[in-house]
Parts: sequence; structure tokens; C-alpha cells
Amino acid sequence: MKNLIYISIISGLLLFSCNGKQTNTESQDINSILAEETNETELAISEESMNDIIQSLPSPLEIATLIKESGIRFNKNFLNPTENADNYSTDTDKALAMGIYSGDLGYINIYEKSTTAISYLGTVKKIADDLKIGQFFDIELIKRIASNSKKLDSLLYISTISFEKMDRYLREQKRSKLSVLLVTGTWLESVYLATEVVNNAPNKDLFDRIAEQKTVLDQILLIVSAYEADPFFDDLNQKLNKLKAEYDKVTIEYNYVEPETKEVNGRLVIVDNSTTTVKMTDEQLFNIRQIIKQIRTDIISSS
Amino acid sequence: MKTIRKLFFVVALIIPHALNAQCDSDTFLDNCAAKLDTYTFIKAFNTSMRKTQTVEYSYVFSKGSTYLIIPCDEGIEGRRMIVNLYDRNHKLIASTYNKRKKTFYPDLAYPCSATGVYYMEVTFDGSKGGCGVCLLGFKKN
Repeated sequence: MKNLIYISIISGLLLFSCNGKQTNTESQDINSILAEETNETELAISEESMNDIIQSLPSPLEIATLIKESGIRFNKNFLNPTENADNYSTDTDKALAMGIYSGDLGYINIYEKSTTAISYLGTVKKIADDLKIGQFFDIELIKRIASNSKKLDSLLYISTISFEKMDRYLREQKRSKLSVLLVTGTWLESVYLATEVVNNAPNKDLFDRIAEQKTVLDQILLIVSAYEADPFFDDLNQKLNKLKAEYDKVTIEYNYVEPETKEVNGRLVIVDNSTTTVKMTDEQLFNIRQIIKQIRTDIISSS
Repeated sequence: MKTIRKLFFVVALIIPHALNAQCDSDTFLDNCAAKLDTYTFIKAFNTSMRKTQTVEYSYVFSKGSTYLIIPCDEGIEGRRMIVNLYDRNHKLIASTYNKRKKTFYPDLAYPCSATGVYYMEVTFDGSKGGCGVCLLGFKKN
């Protein structure tokens, strides 16, 4: 009898102390999706390295900020129309397209176009629901925030954190394939936007930032090629390698100088003396723009 | 004696789960996001460890931007988060902990002038590990 009491206490307390935020996603639908996604052979890189690389990729907000601060006006024609969302039928198409829309949202949010943001978030939510990861987008909350012009920075924060949580969830659930496609789509869209803007209005900061994506592309290729046994990833890998062939002509020179640190009013201030200098010709930029545009067109017009 | 042993067993089994349940990264995020001030939020690196180890995160920093790293922890002495920033060659750039003065900086602002992969090594002072979030934000120089 005493043993039964102890077992009951242990069981009860274990259940009580579990994380109450676990969502019940272990439905039959989820299991069938997982079965489809995890039909993988051994990865060329470890899961840990995969997670490290995915986390290290720059946010689309960085290029979007650069675009906005160049003085260029917001141009909705650059974006992937929300109507295209109906074209994406497979999970891989959807994940890649969701990445594209994520890149668009970075651009939209930085320009504080709240009405457009709501529309695009609605599209993202719809695709995410199809992929059984829609729980990270609370559209009603987002609409309330967007309706208050003083809280537009909160809209940006909520959008960013929603994607962050969704990406983390995908990797925790061993659905890294979709996470890879999501971040690849986001990166492609960011660079596409930068190349389109620079084509319309030359800007040194954007020019250099496009050239520096050579570093990021190498990281993206590592994670995409890890799944090249999958025909979809193999095709994407080949397209990205065409882009790499062009980026191989771009050079980035790194000059290291010891940084300095000082304390100012109790805060740590660092002075970075190292530099990177990019060398990219207008012809190389043109070629990069053309290849990115083609890859993007293939993705957004998938059916 | 048997009763005490059994009770000890129960407690020893439960405490680790209870500790994990209390390390709610989302709560840290919501509480610390305001410290970003004028910086735009990029990422949150959730960290939880029962004994002090180090975990490393990487991110591509771009020249022309200043990155703000904010260690956000429980505020408990002996379980304070420390973030060490390293460059592409794993040379230490700066740390949020001043060993000489034994003080913790609230954040670390790094104006980047050389694009590349940078590494943030997260650990906790003391030997008992800790729980928290390392926030990363940016703004254009």
C-alpha cells in the first residue's frame, strides 16, 4: 500500500512539473507528415552542425534596413504576390515559398506597412497551417497590434519572434528539412530585393552587402546539399551552385587588427579595427542578379 | 529509515523536472526584449544548463551595423550568464564579465567593420549552471 502511494506521488508530480506549454501536435496528420519528411538517408553533416548553421544565417531585417536607409521608397511590386500561395501544393514548395514570404515580411515591416504586413502574415499563417506549424502565428493579436500605429515596432517584434519560434520548433521536431527550405527561401528573397533595389538606384552599402552574401551562400549550400539525396533538394542545390560559380569570382579581403575595449559609464564599448573589402564588378553583380531572379521565379511560380 | 529513503528518492526524481519547467525561455524573452531599446531584435539563443558548461552560437555579422548582445538570466548570484564574443578565428573580442573587477556588464555593443561569422560563447558563473536567453539585436551605424 505504501509503495502504491509513493508511485502515485511520483506519477502525479512528474505530470505536474512538465512544461505546460507543450502543444498537442501529435495528431495522426502530424505523424503522416513526419513520416514523409523523415524518409531521409544519413545526412552529410550532423544535426548539431545543421542547427548551428541555420541559427547563424542573417535576419532578412538587416538587408531590409539597409534598403530603407538608402532612401529608396517601398515598392510592393518587388514582393511575391499573396495570390501565388494557392500555387504551392507540396510541403517542400510551401516551405520554400514561406521563406520567400518571410523575406518579404522583413521588407514590409521595416517600412512599417502594417496593412500589407497583415495580408502577408495571413498568407504565411495559411501556409504554416498546411504544414501543421501555424500555432506560432496569432493573427488576432497581430491585427490588434497593427491597428495601433504606436506599436508597429511590436508588430515587427511579434513577426520576427513567431518565425524564430517556428524555426526552432521545426528543428526540435526533427523537421529540419523544412527549416532548411524556410531559411533558404528567406535568404534568397532578401538578396533578390537588394539586387532589384541596387539595379534601380546604385548604392555602395547595398552593393557591398550583396557581395558579402558570398559567405552566407557557402553556409546555405552546406545545409541544402546535406539533403541532396532528395530530388527536390538536389535540384535546388544545382541552382544554388550556379549562383556560387558567379560568387566565386567575387573577392572579400579580410584585414585583422586587434580590437579595443573600454568602459564608458559602466557599459562595455568595443572599437573594431578589422576590415573587409569587397571586389565585385558591375558585370558580376548583373550576373548574380539574373541568376537569383531565375531561381526565385522558379520557386514562386511552382505549381 | 526506509520511509526516509523512499521520500528522498521521490524528491530526487522530481527536482530536475521542476527545474526544467521553471526555465521558461519565452518569459525571459518577453521580459528582456525591452532592453533592446532602439536596436532591432534578430535572435534569441535559449540556454539552460544544470552545471556550468559552455555552449557556442554563431551568427554572420555584417560591417556597417552595430550588434547588441544582451545576457538575460534569472539574476541569481552564482547563476549569472556570461557571453564571450569571438571573431572568425576564435580570437576573443570581448566578454560581458570583467574578471578583474568581478563585474557583469548589462550588454555588449559591437560595431562591426569586418563581415564574417562571429561566435557567442554562453556560460554561467559559478558551478551550478543556469537558465536564460542571450538576445541579439542590431542597428545600422
